[in-house]
Amino acid sequence: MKRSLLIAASMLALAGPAFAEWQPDGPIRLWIGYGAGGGTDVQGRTLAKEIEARRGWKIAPENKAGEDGTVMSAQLKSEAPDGQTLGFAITTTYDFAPMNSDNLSPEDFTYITTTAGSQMAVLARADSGWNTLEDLQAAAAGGEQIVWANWGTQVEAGAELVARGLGISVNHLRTEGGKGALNALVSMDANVGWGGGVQKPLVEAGVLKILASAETTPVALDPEKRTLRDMGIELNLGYQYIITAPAGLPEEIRDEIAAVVAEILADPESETRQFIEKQYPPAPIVTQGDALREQILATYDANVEMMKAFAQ
Amino acid sequence: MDLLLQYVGLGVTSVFQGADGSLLLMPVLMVLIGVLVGILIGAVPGMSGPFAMAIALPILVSIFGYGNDALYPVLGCLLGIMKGATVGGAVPAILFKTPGTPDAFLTTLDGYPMARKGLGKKAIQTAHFASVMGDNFSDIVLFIAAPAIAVAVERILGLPEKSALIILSLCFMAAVVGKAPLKGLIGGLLGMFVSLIGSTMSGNGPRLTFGIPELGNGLPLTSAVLGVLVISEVLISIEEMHEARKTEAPSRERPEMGPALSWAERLRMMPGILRAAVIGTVIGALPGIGTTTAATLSYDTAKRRSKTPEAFGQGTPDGVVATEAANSAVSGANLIPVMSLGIPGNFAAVFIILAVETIGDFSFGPQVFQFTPIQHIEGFDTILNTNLVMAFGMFTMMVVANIFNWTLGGMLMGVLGHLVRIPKELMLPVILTVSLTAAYVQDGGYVGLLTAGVFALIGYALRRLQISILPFVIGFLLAPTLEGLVRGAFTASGGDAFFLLKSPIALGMLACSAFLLFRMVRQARNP
Repeated sequence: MKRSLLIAASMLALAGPAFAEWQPDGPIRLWIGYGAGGGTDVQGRTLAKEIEARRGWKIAPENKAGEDGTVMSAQLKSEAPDGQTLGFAITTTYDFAPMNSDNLSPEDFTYITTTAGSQMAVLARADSGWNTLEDLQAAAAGGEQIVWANWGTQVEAGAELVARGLGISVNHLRTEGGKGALNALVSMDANVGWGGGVQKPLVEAGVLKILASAETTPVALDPEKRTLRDMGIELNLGYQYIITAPAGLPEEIRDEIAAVVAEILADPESETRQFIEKQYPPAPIVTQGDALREQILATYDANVEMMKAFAQ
Repeated sequence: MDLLLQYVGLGVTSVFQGADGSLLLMPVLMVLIGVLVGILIGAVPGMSGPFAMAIALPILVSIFGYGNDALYPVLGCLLGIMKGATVGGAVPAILFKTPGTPDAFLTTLDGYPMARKGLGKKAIQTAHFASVMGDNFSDIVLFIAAPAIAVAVERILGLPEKSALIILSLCFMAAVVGKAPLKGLIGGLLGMFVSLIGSTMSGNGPRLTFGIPELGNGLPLTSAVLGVLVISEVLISIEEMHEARKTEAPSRERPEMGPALSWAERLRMMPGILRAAVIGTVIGALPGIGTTTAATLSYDTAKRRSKTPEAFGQGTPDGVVATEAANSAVSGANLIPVMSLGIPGNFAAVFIILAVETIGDFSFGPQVFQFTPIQHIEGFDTILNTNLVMAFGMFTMMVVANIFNWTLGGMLMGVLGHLVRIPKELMLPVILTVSLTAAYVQDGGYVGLLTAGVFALIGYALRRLQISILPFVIGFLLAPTLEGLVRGAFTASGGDAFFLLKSPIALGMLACSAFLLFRMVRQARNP
């Protein structure tokens, strides 16, 4: 029985392309919602290369940076839902950013697949001598001015909620992207900040230190550190990298694109997977189709609640 | 010290060696191509290094793509063009009294009379020797000064001080560029205003985008700069071509070349070269002043200090030395404010910044010069500051460009006399087509084209009103940094309205800016 299943499975795999429901009608434009050279860009471009190699589709990546991916998604939503134009950004672009936009809604998009997850953490310079959020709390109580580096509205609200949870007051510094927050920390313009994954080399080099995880579980870079939730601050600022299309993308196209991405991310030899394992450990996070849509909508509702709490 | 040497070693090898240890030829090849193109372009009257860099950047990006692998070949080529053009510019200035680049204008004063006296070869070799020596001097200063300044800046300057420094740089630039400082200021402010198009940093969505979502992240930079710098120049050239036909063209007959420059003569030039190189380096390190001022200042100084000032203008090699060593010394030094602060000093530096911003995971600033201890972790990775390695890699490519300038530059300059007769009628359509294609391909199709078109008209208007374009471009590029810093300084201070006036350093810089503004207005009233 096992053997025949195996044969059937391998035949299916061999015949895969023939069964493919969909072939793109010309090159696919992959709009990357962030600038060249960053984590999203590298992932998007490597993935594009590997999809081309596996399916023979021509994929043209293009950077459309700005406002946490919303500059890209504002353009994406008006494109035809035919699979020829895709967006690559982070879940925040869809489950938080639309709150601040009159012309964006989570319903404007078809959610295809996630690829990896963040390593969202609270960071401080190693020379600050702080090891945990309690140390930060003590320093603030001792009169030290706390400046928190944030790259967007959501994390700035998060920082304010953490400050409230700790009973301290912080000043905020808005930076350009995650890298900007790290630069602000290193150059002493801020003494605490958020890192979504890009902090890895600086943490490993001992320049920065993780004070707490802002994911639901501890971050891989420092598994000893507690999560914000462990400390009674109801906050999960983790996000995933996500591929989307305009709303109304036919299911067979959505599933075909999702399938090839899943195939690539499951392959230990794949360059994209290796990049993700290194940069966003421990492994790719693949949520697809309807489950992904439900996740985005549920998180959007949770974020609406968070901002209500913030406004109080 | 060990760590510094380790980083220098890694930087040098990273230019020649891939991650897998294989030999890399592409960066060196691109530096070579850049130097050759730079020398040729510099020798064509009406063309200049930044002009060639503007056209080359989009082409290079489309060839090499994005990511850190593309950084070395693209930057290598641009650095090569920058350095080659300062050498090449002297040839038509000496042989035909038509300076290839604006900063070679002063070279005509003594170079051309030398050529008329039958000393063409000597004049060209003097220009080459002085140019390369000046360039080397300035690079050495860059290598030493940039890391030191970056580290000092980070220790001393916080957000309010950095904001004040950029305000001071912009005022300084307006005050020193062009003949009418107030016009420079207006140009700078206009550039800053145009850069407001895009997104607010507060996350409140689009700003001044006229509902065009494609402008959500601001105007496409390359198209804007191509438009204002290159296409507007083409428009002006087309207009001037008509006028030029009426006037008599200078003789293009190749004069007698005469004897070569001896080593004893070279040795005697050294004090003059050193003085000019120091002037060029100091001027180059200040934002916005550029090569022409350096050459003028150096020429004046050399004349005043000379025992035979009457020889200047009659064909003395000292005059050629003073201008060529000074204008070449600007190229290395103008990267000092770029590398340590991200403030461009002149057009060439603007393109180096644009290239870095377009391509990869690297941005200039003090964090580049952080000497992170290098640690090898078995079975995992090496921890180090890759930005610092790349910075030393860039320095290495500059040295390689200098070597090419020394060797090939000298040979090429001897034969360039034949190559400078390319008619403008042929060049202009080529430049226009390449620029428009680059704007279309690199910057989102029609949005890129439209931006290039609008900026070409702005550039044309500015030139016709005799407003220098440099403050406009630098205002355009620096305004987002300034906005980020001012916003940051304000919010980090907890919303203190006097956030810029609380630090003595920032206050001092703002006072200097106010003084410069006051002087500009007074100058405008009493010209």
